[in-house]
Amino acid sequence: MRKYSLSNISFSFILIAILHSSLLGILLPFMLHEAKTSVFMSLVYSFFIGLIVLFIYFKIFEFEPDKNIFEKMEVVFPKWLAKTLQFIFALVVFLIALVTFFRLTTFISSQFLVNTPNVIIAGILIIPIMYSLMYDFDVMARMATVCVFIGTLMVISNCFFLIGNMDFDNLKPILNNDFVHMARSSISFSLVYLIPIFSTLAIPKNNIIDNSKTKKYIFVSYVISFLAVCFIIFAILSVLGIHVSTLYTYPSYMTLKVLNVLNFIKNVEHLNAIIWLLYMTFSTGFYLLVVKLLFHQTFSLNLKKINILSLCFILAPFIVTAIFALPYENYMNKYSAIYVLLGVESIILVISILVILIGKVKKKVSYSN
Amino acid sequence: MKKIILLVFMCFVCTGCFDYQELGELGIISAMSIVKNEDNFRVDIQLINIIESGDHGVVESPVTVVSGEGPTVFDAVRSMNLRISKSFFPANMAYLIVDKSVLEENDLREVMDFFARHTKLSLNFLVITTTDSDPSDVMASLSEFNINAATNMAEVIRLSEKRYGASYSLTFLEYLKDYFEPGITPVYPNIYMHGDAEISEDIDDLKKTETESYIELKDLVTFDKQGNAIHLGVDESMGYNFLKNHVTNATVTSTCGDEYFTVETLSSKFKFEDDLKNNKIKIIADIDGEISFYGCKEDLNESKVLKDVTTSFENKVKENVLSTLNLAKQSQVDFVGVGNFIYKNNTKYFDFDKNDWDKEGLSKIDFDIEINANLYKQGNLKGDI
Repeated sequence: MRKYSLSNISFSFILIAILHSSLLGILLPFMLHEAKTSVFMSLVYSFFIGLIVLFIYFKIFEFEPDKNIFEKMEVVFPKWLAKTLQFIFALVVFLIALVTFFRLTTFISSQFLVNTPNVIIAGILIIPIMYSLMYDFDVMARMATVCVFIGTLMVISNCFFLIGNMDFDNLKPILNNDFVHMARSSISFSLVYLIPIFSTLAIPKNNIIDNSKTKKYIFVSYVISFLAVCFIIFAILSVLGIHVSTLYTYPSYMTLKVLNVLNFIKNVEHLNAIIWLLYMTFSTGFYLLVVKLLFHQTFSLNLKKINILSLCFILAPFIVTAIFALPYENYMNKYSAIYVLLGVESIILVISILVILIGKVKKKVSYSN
Repeated sequence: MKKIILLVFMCFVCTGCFDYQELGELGIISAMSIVKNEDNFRVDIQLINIIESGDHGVVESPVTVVSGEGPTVFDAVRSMNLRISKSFFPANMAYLIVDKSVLEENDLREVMDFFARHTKLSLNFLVITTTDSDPSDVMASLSEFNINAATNMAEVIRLSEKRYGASYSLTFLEYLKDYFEPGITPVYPNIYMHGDAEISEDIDDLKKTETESYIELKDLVTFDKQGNAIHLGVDESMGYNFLKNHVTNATVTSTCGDEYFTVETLSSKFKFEDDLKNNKIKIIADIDGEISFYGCKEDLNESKVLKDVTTSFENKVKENVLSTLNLAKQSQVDFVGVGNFIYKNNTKYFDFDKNDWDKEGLSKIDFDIEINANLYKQGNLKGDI
């Protein structure tokens, strides 16, 4: 892979796009199902739990700033352990990409292309991802910029035009679920929402221009994304109400079905779904690029060979698994499936904590020597 | 070069040509009705005929009504393809008639499931019922005001809600909410066929200046758990719309001695306040209105007279609201949503999961109504003629 550099704002856009990719059909229905109308209370808890995750992210981001996550592991662990953990890390990122892509495909097949075989949908969607995989993180950052601009514009305009359909009484009762349910919702949200951003550790801190301000940018991105989630949940609840929103797999998309722009533009939910399509397509591409980076690290190949390798060794199993998983949508739609995802994603957190702790100990030992 | 080839390939596969359907292959559904006949559902659909309306008006029927039967709603719809060479496209559906025969718990659930699950449907179409006519007659009836009879009916319901205050446009989303949320029962606009159904289907009948048969909005109706209809009269319907804040311009006629005056409301806001310690709900309303007709003898320029007129108007609105609430209590069907208000604002007051609110809760609630009216406009006239 070649040398590249990103601006702080581009890096923030990548973060925002990744954060939003886990919402549609994954986090939003789960949170509404668990916390009911107490979801806002649960969001407040989530914000603070999220800060802990973000703190861990900052720590590992700062550690060995000229190295990406795979190189950091090589510094900290013995070679065999580093290779194993690198592989596990990449595998988990690969699984996150699979879940995101699976949700994207099933969303399109259930809402738009009902009569089209899922294999064809998956095949079509993989092409832009395949294309983006030929480039590097700087190109991804440009894609993220486009996604975030379109997404932000759409979220703001949708919320604005939905105001007439909002009934604030639907947000009540503010507390209608016990602490256990709220805690489940909060913890799942903070982890499933935030852990995917650890994939951005594939970009070394030193590759970001003016990186003294990066932490501030990351924090602001988190706050903005979090506020956007609050607005989205607010719109869902106030328009659909809790009983109707929990009926659907994609409550955010169903909310858009009532959108009536200036009394003459109707049925625009298909157009608005582009928000999710962009974020999810981008994120899948980004995750796979992280896996591709591991190939680069492990085999030290030139760009042409990496591209061919990545197409064969990353995309082939990805497409096969994604297509194989499609008939099992009913199992994936179960709310308990999120706990499996949570468990798998937590491995990244554990690896990161290990890197920080052992890295610190190693540094102390080397200083004392 | 490879990237360019990939890009060109992407352009071809992303054009959406796979499995496409031409417009001519689609049967555009403008309205739909569902009736339960013993164990089967009968579904009637009104399809739009793409026709030209020339200088001499419409010469052929703009709609076609098709029926199908099956053990499930989906089955009934698909069975129509035994005689229709179109794929049905329901995204532009204006209304759905739910017949009273469907309003039993399990059948209604199936209807809900079909429409909520359908990905092509919007959530904005209206849900109506007809207690006195056959839904297929209503569907086949033509309108002199709009080439699409379904759109005309939907507009009638919407307009009468906004401008008269005696109807309610129940959208499918509201219907879902009222069905699933505790402490509220859906209220349907009730339409009926006035006159002979066969004449109403005849395109020649539209050429006359006065049509003999037509579809009319009758009243609002709700149903108890056994499927018995509870009709809301004009006053109760108006009271219901006031309570639900559906009204923009309601027309309220009240008396001043032997004479009448009419007020057109310009805005109204009803608010529930909970005083459940005393088993009471306080209803506070602020209404602004315009005197659109004044037939009383007293001089409206006198402030005392205007005050009396305002009080009379307030009493009339209060009367309407009270009759609505009393009807809900008597029929043991909380169509106003008092229970829903309590569920959202004071959840601990009543256990909606274990107890029957309609029977055990609603009857214990007393209402304290306070109407504050402000009749600040008098139309064109300074006082009265």
